[in-house]
Amino acid sequence: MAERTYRINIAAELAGVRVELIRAWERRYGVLTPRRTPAGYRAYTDRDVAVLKQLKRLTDEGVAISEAAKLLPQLMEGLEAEVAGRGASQDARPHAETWRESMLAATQAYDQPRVSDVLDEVLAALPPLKAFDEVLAPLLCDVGERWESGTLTVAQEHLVSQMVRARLVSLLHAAPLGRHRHGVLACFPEEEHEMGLLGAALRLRHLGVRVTLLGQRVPAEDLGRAVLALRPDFVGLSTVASRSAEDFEDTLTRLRQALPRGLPVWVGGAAARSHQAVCERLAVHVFQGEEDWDRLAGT
Amino acid sequence: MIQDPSLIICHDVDGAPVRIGAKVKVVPHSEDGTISQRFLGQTGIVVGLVFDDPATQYPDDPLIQVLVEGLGEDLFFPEELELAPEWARNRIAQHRQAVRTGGRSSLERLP
Repeated sequence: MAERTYRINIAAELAGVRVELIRAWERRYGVLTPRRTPAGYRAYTDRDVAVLKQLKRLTDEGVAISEAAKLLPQLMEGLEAEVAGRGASQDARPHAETWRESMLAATQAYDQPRVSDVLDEVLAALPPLKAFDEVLAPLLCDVGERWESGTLTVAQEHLVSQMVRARLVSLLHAAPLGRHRHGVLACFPEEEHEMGLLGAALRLRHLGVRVTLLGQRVPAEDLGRAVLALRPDFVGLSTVASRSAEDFEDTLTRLRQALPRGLPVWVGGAAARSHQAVCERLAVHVFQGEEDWDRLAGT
Repeated sequence: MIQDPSLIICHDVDGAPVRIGAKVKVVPHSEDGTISQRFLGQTGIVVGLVFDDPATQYPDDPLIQVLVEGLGEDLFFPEELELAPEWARNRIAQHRQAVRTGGRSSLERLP
């Protein structure tokens, strides 16, 4: 299996080191030589992140980075030993799956305090983006699928989604504010599912993008007015609930017409992926995955 | 106690080799392989100065944060930016190298 890699913003967040410092340490001291994606973006492995953490620990203790960099061979040896040791006891760390199962069981039992406790445990153990990607987003997918198959009621779905939403909003409050680019994020006019939008806002904030979050059910005309006033670099739309191609095209056309010509518009969510041809015809980008975060953030 | 002495500055600094907002072109100068190749030949705007060890770098030896529209940001040494004639960039690079080498040599002389 290919080794997991992270973009610089995610590596920075995982290691607790600012993006600029990672780049500076690479350029001045050659502490890391991350791989590059075909598009030229840096890609960091878990080992790279561990090295960055070690360097941060040393510099936090007052060691000059130029001196810390000289200790790199020893640091690498230590990491190798740690990895070898961990291999023997792979189950030591609680797994994301275990957390998700605990929350699903608590949801079945209408035990909201338990859901809340597990969420707190997750957020204490993992950095925000990792918590969202590995636990919260998959949990919400599980819950949605179980509701669809009739094994969870609407009340149970809301019991857990309200808790997750509250945590996501807290994470957003604590996220960096962003500087250079500005995105306005909104749900389609009739769309009530906003978790994906909140997750996108969280990711973009951690990528240094300034985000104005308008949330669920935003009428096209009101979105247009907001964009006119805010003059963002792009608009991100979310649409989850399934709809006919005609309905989707009609809504997207109204949204496109309400927005300034030439302004990049992105759309994500299950419904967008179902109607890619419509999006292409209306010159709207469909959000596809990891590479698109970089395009949105301009990193 | 946690210390992070690094400085990331987004305003003009007396003695720095470049001004914030200056338009610069990234030129192939570095041979260390750490420069982002996709920035070569691109023109961008200086948006910041990064001093990861201010005690030895401030104010004249920052890494320069350049924003290139459509590509994003990255850091460059002064000699990698076309903000002075080539001979001047070479002098800057030689000076920085000499300071580093000098520092290392004096450390090596310590008992």
